Amino acid sequence: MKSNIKEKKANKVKGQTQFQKSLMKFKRNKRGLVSLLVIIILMFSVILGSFLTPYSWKEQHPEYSFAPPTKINFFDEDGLTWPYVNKIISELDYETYSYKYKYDKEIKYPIKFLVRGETYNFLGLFETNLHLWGVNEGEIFLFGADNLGRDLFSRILVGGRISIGISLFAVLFSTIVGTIIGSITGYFSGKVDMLGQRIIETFIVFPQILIWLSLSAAIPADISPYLVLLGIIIVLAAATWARLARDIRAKTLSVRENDHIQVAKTFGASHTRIIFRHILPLHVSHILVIATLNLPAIVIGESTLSFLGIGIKSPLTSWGALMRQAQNINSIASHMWLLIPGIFILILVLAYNFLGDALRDSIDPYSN
Amino acid sequence: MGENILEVKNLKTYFHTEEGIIKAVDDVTFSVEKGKTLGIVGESGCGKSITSYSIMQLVPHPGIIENGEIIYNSNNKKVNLLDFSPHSKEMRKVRGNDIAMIFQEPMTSLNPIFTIGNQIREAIHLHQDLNEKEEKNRAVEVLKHVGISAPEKRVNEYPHQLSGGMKQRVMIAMALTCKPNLLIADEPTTALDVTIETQILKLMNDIQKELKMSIILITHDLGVIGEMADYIIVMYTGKIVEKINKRNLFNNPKHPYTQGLIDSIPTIGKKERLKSIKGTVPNLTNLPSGCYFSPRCPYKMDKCEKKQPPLFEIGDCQGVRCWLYEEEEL
Repeated sequence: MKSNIKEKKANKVKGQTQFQKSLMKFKRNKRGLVSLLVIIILMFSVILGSFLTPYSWKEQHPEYSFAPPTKINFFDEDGLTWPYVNKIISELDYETYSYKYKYDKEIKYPIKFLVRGETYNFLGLFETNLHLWGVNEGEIFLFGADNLGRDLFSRILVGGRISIGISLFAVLFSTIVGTIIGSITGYFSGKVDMLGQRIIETFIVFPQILIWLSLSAAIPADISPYLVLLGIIIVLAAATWARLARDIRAKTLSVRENDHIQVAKTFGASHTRIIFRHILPLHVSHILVIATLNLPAIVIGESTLSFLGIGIKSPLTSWGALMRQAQNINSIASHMWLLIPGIFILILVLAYNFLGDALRDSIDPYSN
Repeated sequence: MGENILEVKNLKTYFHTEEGIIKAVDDVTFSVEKGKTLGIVGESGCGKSITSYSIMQLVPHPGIIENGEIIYNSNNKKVNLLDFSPHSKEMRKVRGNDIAMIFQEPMTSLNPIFTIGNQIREAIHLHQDLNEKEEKNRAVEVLKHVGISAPEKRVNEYPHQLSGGMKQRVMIAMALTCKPNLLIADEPTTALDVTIETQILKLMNDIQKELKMSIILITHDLGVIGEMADYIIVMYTGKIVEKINKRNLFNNPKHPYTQGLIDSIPTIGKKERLKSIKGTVPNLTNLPSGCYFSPRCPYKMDKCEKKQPPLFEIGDCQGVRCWLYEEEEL
């Protein structure tokens, strides 16, 4: 009987694991949950890409160059109705030699679901022309069109693939490099540490933008866009790994004389084993938080580089690259909608930041 | 005299610090017999722990083993452990497999983020070629061996769920996984309360008899020595000042330092002031000339301040580093 009570007590004490505690804390953080939701929605949208848009991202409609966002009508003469768009009529203005757009109120095109439209490659698996929504006739540019008449909404979703993808890969890359170099320099100390620290400092003392600029200038212009993509990932990672490495070094230094590390040594564990099994797992939560907080910096970095024209190059596109069209005051004045990709950058960066904060608050065992 | 499992000859471990060379272990020679327990006694900072770390070749920075031989006798094959480089595969194979070590702080000696079963399995994994299931079974087996109840359940618990005594049992279990020939116990019971201490010491005694294992027991607790050790070396400022067996340690200690230690054991019922050795341990960077104990010694002679005494052998298998016994040497 007595042992039974004891057992129950033990089970109760066991109660929550650290993971469950963190999860509970995270669930209570509304801002974190919302940002996670936003990030998941963004990711799904960019992965599905052209399926969610009425057009493919490459298709040009020269007659609709710089067409403004199409107005979607919910009311007609009889009151509330199925949403429809009017026919867009383009007229060349002979004074400015730019197109002007008007709606023909008489002709209505209802918005339909599962429309056959321009062909695109679904997830790189097969060609299809099925779009989730669109119009059978006429045009619908949700966020307007660019100079070549390409649908900005379609291009934002597809460009987001690169913006989000780059941020994830660059952070993965910088985290791996930073963690390995940080833990090695921290663990071995002495000459290795000396050398490692000087390398880390070299990367930290320069302003990030300078490193980005100079390194991306080193990417040859004549290689394939996909290699450029890889180059950009490396460039972005190169500027962010150093801080993480420094953090991990400090953390490693603080535990490397711990008793359990000594014990592991007396049992014949090798250096690699001690680093990867006995030191790094202690810092997983810290690494995770730093990595998440690095994401927004990488997104901004990629956008900056692409905006300046040394990042993602045509035919690939990203949110920063889309913003390039809004580089001068004239185009902003006359084509306001070209700034919409910036809103997406803003949303993503904010969501990443809030998520990182929420993670830090919930998984750091030392925060209260 | 039985066979020696370990012979340490002229071991010198020095620390090269900014204040100068600290001779933490200075010309230490001793041997450990098979199946017997050697006690190393001395106050804090006398080089007990560094001696054990030197055997494992895990001397912390900036310590360096300057000189000496550590002959390990495994199955009648003698190897000098100092021939292996500290991080070599051969040395790693010796650690944990042939010579295991347990520490004074069971509270922090286990990795907080893995279950104890996981950690015991790691100790097995490093030296034995078993599959996962066999490793698990072995972990439960050793936990049972060290007297942990419900080992099947305990293997899945984390260190913070165990008490100090249990953790020390787990540490011993880890040390036993590979059936080592020599166990170095560095103050294994210092952090435990007295009842648990007795249990742990009994456990070590039982296991020693069962596995015919040798133990080097490092402690400053003469009670523990009385309980466990077969013969004892007394260390002071990095040097062995006396080698003695258990009976003589309590009845007939030779060296003035050992006498002082024995006199300072409190006796129940006596109402006198507790005796102590006057003075403090000299700074290791600034040792007195001659005998290191001379400034504190009640029997100090002129000779003591001038010349370091050698280890005089008197009687059977004893050694004492004191000029008082110069004439008695055989």
